[in-house]
Amino acid sequence: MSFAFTADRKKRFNALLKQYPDKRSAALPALHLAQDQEGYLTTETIETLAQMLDITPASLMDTISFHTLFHTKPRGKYLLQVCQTLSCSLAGADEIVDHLSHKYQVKAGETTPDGKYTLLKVECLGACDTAPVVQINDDYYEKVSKDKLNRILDKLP
Amino acid sequence: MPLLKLDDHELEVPKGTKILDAALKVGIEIPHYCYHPALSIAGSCRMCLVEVEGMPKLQTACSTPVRELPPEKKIDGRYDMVVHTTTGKVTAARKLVLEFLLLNHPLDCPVCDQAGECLLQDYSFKYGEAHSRFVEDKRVQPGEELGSGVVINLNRCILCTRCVRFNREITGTGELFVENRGYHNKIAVFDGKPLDNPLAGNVADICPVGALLLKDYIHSTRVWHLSHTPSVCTECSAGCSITVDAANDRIYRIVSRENEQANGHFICDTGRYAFHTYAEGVLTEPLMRAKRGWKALSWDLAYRTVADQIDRHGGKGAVRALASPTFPNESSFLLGQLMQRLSDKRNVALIPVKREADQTFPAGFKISGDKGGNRRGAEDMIGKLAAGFKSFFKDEEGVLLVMDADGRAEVTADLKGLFESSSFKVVLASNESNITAMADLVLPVAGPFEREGTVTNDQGLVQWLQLALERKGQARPAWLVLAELDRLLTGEASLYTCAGDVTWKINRAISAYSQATRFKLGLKGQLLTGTG
Repeated sequence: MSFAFTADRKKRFNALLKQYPDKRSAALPALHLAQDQEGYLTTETIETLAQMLDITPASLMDTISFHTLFHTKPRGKYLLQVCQTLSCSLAGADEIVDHLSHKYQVKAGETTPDGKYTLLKVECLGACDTAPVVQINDDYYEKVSKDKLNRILDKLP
Repeated sequence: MPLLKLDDHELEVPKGTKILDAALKVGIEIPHYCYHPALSIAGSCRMCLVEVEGMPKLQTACSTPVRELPPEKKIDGRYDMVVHTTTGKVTAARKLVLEFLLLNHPLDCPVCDQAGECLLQDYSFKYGEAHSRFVEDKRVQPGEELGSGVVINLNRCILCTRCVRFNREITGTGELFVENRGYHNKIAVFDGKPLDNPLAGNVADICPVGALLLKDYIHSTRVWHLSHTPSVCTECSAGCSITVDAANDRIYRIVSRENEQANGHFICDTGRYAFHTYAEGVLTEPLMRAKRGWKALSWDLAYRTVADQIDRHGGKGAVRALASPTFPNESSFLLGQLMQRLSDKRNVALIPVKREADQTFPAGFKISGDKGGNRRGAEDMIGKLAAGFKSFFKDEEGVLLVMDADGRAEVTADLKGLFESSSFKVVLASNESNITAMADLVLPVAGPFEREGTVTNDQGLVQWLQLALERKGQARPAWLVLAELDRLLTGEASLYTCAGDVTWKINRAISAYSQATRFKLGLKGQLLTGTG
C-alpha cells in the first residue's frame, strides 16, 4: 500500500514546507495531514513522508511514537477518548470506561470488529471544571453520564 | 577573549566555548554521559551540572557557552564567568542524577562486558551514593539484536542518545531512534530494519554504559585482563589510529583511538573485525613446496635455498621483487635497498591490491577504497618503482621475491604471468593466501598486529605501528628476514638490530621522512615534510 497525498492535501503540504526553514520542521503538521487522510500511519506512509521531509523513517518514528495523537495501528471511525486524570477520575471516568467497554465489548486501546469505535484512556484533556470529559474524534463532550453518552453515541452518523 | 574562572583555574577561551570543553582542556573532570566531542550537544543526561555565579540554577556544562561581560560588569573586576564544579550544590546534584540514572539499571556489573571501563561505575564510585532509595520493581526489557554485529541490552541503557546521534550525524543513515516516551523510552530500529552501515561497530565504542555491545566480544573476556596497544590499522590507506586489546596472545577486539589528523574518533567495521581473518591460516615455519604438499625447513636452510636458487636461475641480476602496500615502511625500504644492491635494473614493483570506490560519510569520515594500507609508504621507500611488472616478467628466468599483501592481493593476468615466468618464487607472508598458494618457498613473517615500524597514510601522515601480539611459531619480522637475506647475498654485515634502527636509516635516507623519527611520531604520528 503506497501512500500519496490527495491533490488538495498535497497543496497544503507544500504550503507547510514554505513556513519553516527546514523541511523536517514541518513533520508534526504533515503527520496530522497524512493521518487525517489515511486514518492511521502505516509503515509505507511513514517512509514516504520521511522522504518528503528529507529525514530517515526512524527519525520520523521518533516523533510519532513520542506523541500520543499519532496512531500506527488501525483505529475506528470514532475515537472515544476518556479522560483519566484526577478530576475526571473523581467524577466517575472509570464507570464511563467500563460502560463503553461493556457496550462495545472492547477493552481500552481496542477497536470494535466492525471498525467503528476505538476506546482509549487518555490523560488530562484540560476541561477539569466540566469533568468527566469524553473526546470523540475532535469534539469534547463534557459532564457526561452513561445516559448522556448513550444519547450522544446514538446520534453519531 | 573572555576570561573564565573554573574552580582554581583561570583561562582565556573564545566566546561561546562550552564550559565542558574548557574544563577538558585544563584537565578538570566534569562527569558526563551524553556529551561526545564528535557529536551534537544533547544535554539530556544532566550529569555535567555545574554552578555558574550569577545563575540561580545549576547549568549543564556541555551546553552552556562562556559569555563575555562588558568591562564595568566583570566579576571581581576581571572575570567574565566564574564556574564551580566542586561545591556542595554540584556534588549533591551529581548524586541525585546518578540515583535517577540507576533507578532501572540492573547493576549486573559482574556479568556486564562494560564493567571496568563503564562510566556508570566510575562516576558512581566517585560521585554517587552506595544506596538507592528505589524499592519498586525495576523495568525489565528483553535484549535485542540491532544488526551489523551490534546487540543492545535495554535494561542498562541510560538513554544518552549518543548512538542515535552518531547514526544521524556521522553515518547519515539514521537507523536508530528513541521510541515512545518517558518510562517507555527505548532505543529501537524502525520497523525491524537493522542497523546497517560500515561504521556500525562504533556505537558500542561510544556507548558510555554496557547497553550496546559487539556480538563477537560479549562474555569473551574482562576488560582488566586486556593489554591496550596503540597501533594503526592498515586495512585501507586511511590509516586509522586504533587500540588493539589483547590478552593471552589473542586479540579480543579493536577499538578506535582518537587522532584528529587521521580518523578523528571512529573506525570502520572492516578494520574493527579484520583481526578475525588473521587468526586463520597462520604460517609458523618456513615451507618448501614438495612433491606432495609442503615441507618444513629451518630458517638457515630456507635462506641458503634462496641463495642457491638465485645462483641457479640467472644470478643476482635476474632477481625480481614485488613490494607490498600493506607492510610497514621498514620492510619496503630494506627490500628496495636489497634490490638496488643486487642489480641496477631495479626490478621492483608493487603487488596489485584491490581498489574499490572511496566511501565518504556526511560528517567527513572516509573509508579509502585503496586496500593497500601503506601504498604511499611503499612507493616512498622504494623510490622509482618499475612502471609495472610487465617490463620485467618477460625475462627468461629468475627468482621472484614477493611480499604478500595480507590476503588482499589481486591475482591479475599480469601477476599470474610474472609468477609463471619466474623459475623460483619466494613469498614472505604471515597467513596462507592466494599468493602463498603460488609460491615455491614461503617465509613466515610477522602478521599485521605483530609488526613494528612506520606506515604512511594517503594524507602523508606517518604513524608508528606497535607490536600488539607475539609472533607465532618461528615467524620473523619481515625487515629482519630482508636484512638477513641482504647479508647473505651481498656479504655485508647488517646494521639493524630492531625495526627502529631501520626507521632511523629511513629518516636519514629519505628527506620527506627526516622528521618522522620514532621519537617524534609519538602516538599521533607526524605529517611528512612538505605536506599538510
